[in-house]
Amino acid sequence: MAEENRRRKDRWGLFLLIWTLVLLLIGAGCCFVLYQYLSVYEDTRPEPVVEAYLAENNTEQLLTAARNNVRLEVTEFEDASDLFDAYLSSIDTDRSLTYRFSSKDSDDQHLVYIIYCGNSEICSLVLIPEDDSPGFDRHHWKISDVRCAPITEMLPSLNVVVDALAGEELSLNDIVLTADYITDSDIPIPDLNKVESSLSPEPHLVRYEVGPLYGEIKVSDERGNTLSPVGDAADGTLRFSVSAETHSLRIRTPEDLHVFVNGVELGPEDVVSSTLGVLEGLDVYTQGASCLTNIYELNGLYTVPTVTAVDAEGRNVTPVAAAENNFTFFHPGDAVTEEILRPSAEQFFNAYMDYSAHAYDATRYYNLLNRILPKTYLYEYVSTSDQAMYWASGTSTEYKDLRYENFHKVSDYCCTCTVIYSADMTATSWYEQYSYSLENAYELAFVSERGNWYCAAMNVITAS
Amino acid sequence: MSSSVSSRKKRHPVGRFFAFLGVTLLCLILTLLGLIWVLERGPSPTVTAMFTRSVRETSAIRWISNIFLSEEELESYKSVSTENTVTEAVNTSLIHIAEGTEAVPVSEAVKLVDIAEGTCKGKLLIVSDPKQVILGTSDQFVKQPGLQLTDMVAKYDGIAGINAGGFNDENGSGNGGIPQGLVIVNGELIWGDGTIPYHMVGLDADGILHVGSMTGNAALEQGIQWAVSFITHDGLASSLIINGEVQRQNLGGGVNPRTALGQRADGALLLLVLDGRSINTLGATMQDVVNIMLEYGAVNAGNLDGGSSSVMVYNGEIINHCASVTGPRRIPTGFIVLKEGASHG
Repeated sequence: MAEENRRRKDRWGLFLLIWTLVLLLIGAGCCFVLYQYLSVYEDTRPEPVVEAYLAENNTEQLLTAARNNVRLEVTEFEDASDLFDAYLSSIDTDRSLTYRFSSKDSDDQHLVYIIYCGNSEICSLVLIPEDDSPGFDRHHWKISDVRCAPITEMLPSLNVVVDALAGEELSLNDIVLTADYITDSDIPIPDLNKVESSLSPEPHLVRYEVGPLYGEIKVSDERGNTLSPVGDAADGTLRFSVSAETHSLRIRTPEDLHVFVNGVELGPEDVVSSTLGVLEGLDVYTQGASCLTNIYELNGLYTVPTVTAVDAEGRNVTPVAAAENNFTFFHPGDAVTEEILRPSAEQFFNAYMDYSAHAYDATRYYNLLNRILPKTYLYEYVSTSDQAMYWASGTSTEYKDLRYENFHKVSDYCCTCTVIYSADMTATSWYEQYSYSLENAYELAFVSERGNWYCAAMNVITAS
Repeated sequence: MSSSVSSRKKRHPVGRFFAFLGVTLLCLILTLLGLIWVLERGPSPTVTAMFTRSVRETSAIRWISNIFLSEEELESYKSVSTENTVTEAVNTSLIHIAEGTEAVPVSEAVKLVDIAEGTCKGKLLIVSDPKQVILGTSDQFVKQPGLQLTDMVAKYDGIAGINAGGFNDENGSGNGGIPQGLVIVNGELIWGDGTIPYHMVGLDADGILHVGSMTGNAALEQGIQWAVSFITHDGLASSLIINGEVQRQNLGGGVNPRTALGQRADGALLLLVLDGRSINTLGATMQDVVNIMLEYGAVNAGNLDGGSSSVMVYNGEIINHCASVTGPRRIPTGFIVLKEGASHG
């Protein structure tokens, strides 16, 4: 019995000893593993890599590396490098460099450390694992990339909205805004006049939207004018409205011609005034014929006006004069009237040129007067005015490109035509010495008396 | 004879059990000591610093740091003291608090975010209107113990809250009745000396967060309405970010549960609580807190009492993993989020 107890005691003691040794072995193993792990941990910490890089590179070298690797998502209207440079110029680069780990941007294969200069983020270092592993699935790290700071996330940004007439060419920071940036292509113009309201498509505004923009914003129209924003940008949007260029139009035309502006026919309601024009006071000769001249005026046109006219027979009529949106139409000439009137018209105007281009001469004076219907304003003017004499005495005039056109029969006793010419004038008085050219057009009215055609009135149409 | 044999047979199992237990415990203690030795005198100075700083920040087990390291040796691992550091003042012009039509909708006024950044886990409460946040206190300092945060939030009829300033906690047995540093409530200095500089975290009447070193009187002159102060056992001041600049001198702490208060440029307050001392997460360093604060746009941020005090209450419940083994601790102060529409302004 005692032997058995002794044996039992020995076995228990042996078990306890082995148990203790096992526990100590496990404990020592844990300590050993922890020791080894900490050795590897210390050896593979990425922070010393970052610190060594910052120690080897001063701020300027770091910024240069970041500058060479600017990858910012900006619109075509801004240069990412310029933005980064502008950002850097706003920070104090004398401040010390610090860093922090960015868990948001990091993963198992990429560790990202954000580098600060003072309190300003300037770039980030990207670390990747080296191929070797000292154990515990840990790696040494090396720097693979220096990225510029994501300044677009830090800088205040603005969106730009520009409303402009469709077709107007706009520039943002001197780069043309293309149709890709149009977000609304059919914004109605509230004050559109009748003519343009009838157009298809009618003039309208388009809206460009660009953003976000981080730097300076310059919007200019197609004439190169820099636009000022409308209001402030409290809501983060800077708005511009391009004042569209508008056009005015004045049309003078016989009442029986059909006039079209951009394809839209003008009606009686568009007439601003009517006149007898050159036929004023010649009622006896016009014999009640329709001979009014209508004046149309249109303002605030957003489109460049194209003016056309046709007569009652549908024939196209070319304007006698069309300068600065000022159009003057006459009846198209007819051959019969031209055959009858042309000799008289030429004789009168030759006499007029002969008289007006020379100093006073009685022969020339009466030669002109004899071709003017007495008791008319024209007759009165020529016979009593001394301006022509004085003017002619100090001026020499050369007439060129003389054309007689638009012969039109008003009645059996009244016809009209136009005379168009160029004149080179030279002032020769002792106090004036200059030369200039004129493009002139006259409307002439002739009446028939006793079988002869006399000039009864003349109106200057245009002069430049 | 037979009874003698019988009693011997009965005694043997008990004796063997205690012998077995004793040997096992001894081996366990030896193993733990071995592990601590590896941590304190092992091959990784980084881990040694982290370990010693972590345990030194706790009231209950800070003695562990002295097992294998002398005080002289610990000096090199101690966090840098900023006791006398004069900090830059908060630039209030950097904070633009949205008002009127700019203000966010009520439905987005208080937003709770789960934090899982690296090894850090916790909760972040974003309060758009900083005037919705006040400092709550227990009923009476010294004479009464502190309140658990759930009770404190309920006392102010708030919707959420985090613990705030430090308190006397000798060997981890404090009852939260005696605050440390200063306490300013509703523009009045109710605890602390007006002439002594404290590492303060507070809100002014406009809801702007102030962090940094200042006396109680100076805080009142700056219009601070609600404030506490905090400093770690090693003397790390509370300011973490001032005017966007990280206060590097205060980042030396170890890994522990953390509580912090930050403010974005738009005025929104960031109430952060990070868990620790659990299987899920050991905790966070000050650098981790700063990283999270920066990630969420903080311009100013201050560290508050951490460790087993770190707690966040939302809708009447504790929503983080409280590190205290005895349940939520009693605390003297907490930042309370009032109900929407209510504000101290």
